[in-house]
Amino acid sequence: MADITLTVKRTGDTEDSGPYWQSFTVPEIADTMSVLDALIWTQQNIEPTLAFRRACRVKMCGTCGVRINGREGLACGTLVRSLVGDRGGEVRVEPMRHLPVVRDLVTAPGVFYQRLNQVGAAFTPKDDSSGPAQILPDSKERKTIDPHRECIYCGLCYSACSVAGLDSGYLGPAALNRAFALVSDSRDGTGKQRLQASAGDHGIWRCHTIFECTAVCPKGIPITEAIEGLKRKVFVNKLKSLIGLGR
Amino acid sequence: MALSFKALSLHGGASLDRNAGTRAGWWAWFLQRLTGVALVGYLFLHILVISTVQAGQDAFDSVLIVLQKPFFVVLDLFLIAAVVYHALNGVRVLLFDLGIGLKQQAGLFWVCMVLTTILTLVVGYFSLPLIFRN
Amino acid sequence: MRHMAAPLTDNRDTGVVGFWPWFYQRISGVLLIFLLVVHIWMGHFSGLRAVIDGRQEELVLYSIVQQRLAHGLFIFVDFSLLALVIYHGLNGMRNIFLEWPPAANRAKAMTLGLWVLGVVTFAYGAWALLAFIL
Repeated sequence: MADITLTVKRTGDTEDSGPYWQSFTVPEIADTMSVLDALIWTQQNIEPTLAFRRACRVKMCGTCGVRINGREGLACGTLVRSLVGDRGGEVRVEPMRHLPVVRDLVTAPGVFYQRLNQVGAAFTPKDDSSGPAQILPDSKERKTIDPHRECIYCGLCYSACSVAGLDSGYLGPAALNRAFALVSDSRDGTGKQRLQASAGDHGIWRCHTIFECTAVCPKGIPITEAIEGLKRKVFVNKLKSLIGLGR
Repeated sequence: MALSFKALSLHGGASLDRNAGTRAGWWAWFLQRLTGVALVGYLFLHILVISTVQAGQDAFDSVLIVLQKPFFVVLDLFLIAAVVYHALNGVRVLLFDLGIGLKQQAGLFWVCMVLTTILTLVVGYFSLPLIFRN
Repeated sequence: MRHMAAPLTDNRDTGVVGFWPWFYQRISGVLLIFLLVVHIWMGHFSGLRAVIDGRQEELVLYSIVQQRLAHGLFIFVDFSLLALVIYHGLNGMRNIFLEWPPAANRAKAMTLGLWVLGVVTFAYGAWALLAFIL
């Protein structure tokens, strides 16, 4: 089993020194070794000051989001062999983009959560309490929303999105995906405001269907479809109000 | 047991969604912007050229004769390629706005590239006599 | 709950980036496909056989353009094309500028500037077209 070279982008030691890359030689512990395994091994055996986030290690919690060989991914869910085969090679890991770097691979997610707040990420039930809602499993509504419910808020889509890089106020894929899921939910009471929030200065109209979000989502959520769905909703509403059907 | 590592983990455990991991969408956007900016530049040049007519019929004709020389016919082929790609990708984006083809977005990009190549070659073929006349 | 600041009301829509530019970009784009096909065909391909056979000297000369613009249909096509292509092109540039902070921070002024440029360009182009018609 071949060694790999784990190259990590690290924060400078002083306020003035910029980031630098540091390489470690890591043995292939198992043929199912993940990038997270390599990071943990490095931290335990070579460099105890190496900083990175992780928790569940089974692609459920979304904590270990990083960029691996230039592409966003969960460290726990990226197998080293899928990157370098069985002959070893280099694995380059750097922090997610568009968020402030706290240290090494750790980023501060505040802005990402703020964007979710801006569209109102929490479900808000309608006022009328006429008994439990009935949305059948094979209903159109259920099928529309289901693919978009899997979000683990890992932030990888926000990191991958070129628009988020060009416009720091952009709501971003995760927030808009969540907005779509809730706007499509007939039980939710703030759909109108959510749609309005999505269609503001830094919302859906800034999405250029680049599909970077969809390409990196570890849950396979068709995020771009959600944003396009929101655009269509706004279009239909505008049409209705022009014809006089009102909202 | 032959585990397919690529299938197991596409840089983060993405599903077998065909849109996982592809850069096609980025290239489509980048080329749309590139051709768009180039075409805006060309537009202003084009309007300036046509406006030479205000200096008289002969002024216009002398400019146009130069601009139909073989060198410019070849440049026109690049223009055609830019217009065709921009229009085809524009239709691709419009389809997405209508909710069509989002799951096949990468394939649609390649269709645009192939059609652009074919149409440019076809126009080039018919323009050959203009390039090689004496 | 410090981070749960005023959800849903923080998004001021100043109308700068909005539905209408997005909508009209698609409308103008689709119309431009048809108009450009007619324009390019009439300008550069309808006389191609004659030029190749030597019966006509060039594809584009004052007299040829003037003949075409004597017909109402082509006057309509060329003027519509001029207006729509300027709108589509500058609207596209606006999208790019909105992602460039020096312009994005002055979005309203930038938009006004582009409108002025567009109207001036249309006027200039229309003046050139009129030289063939009047």
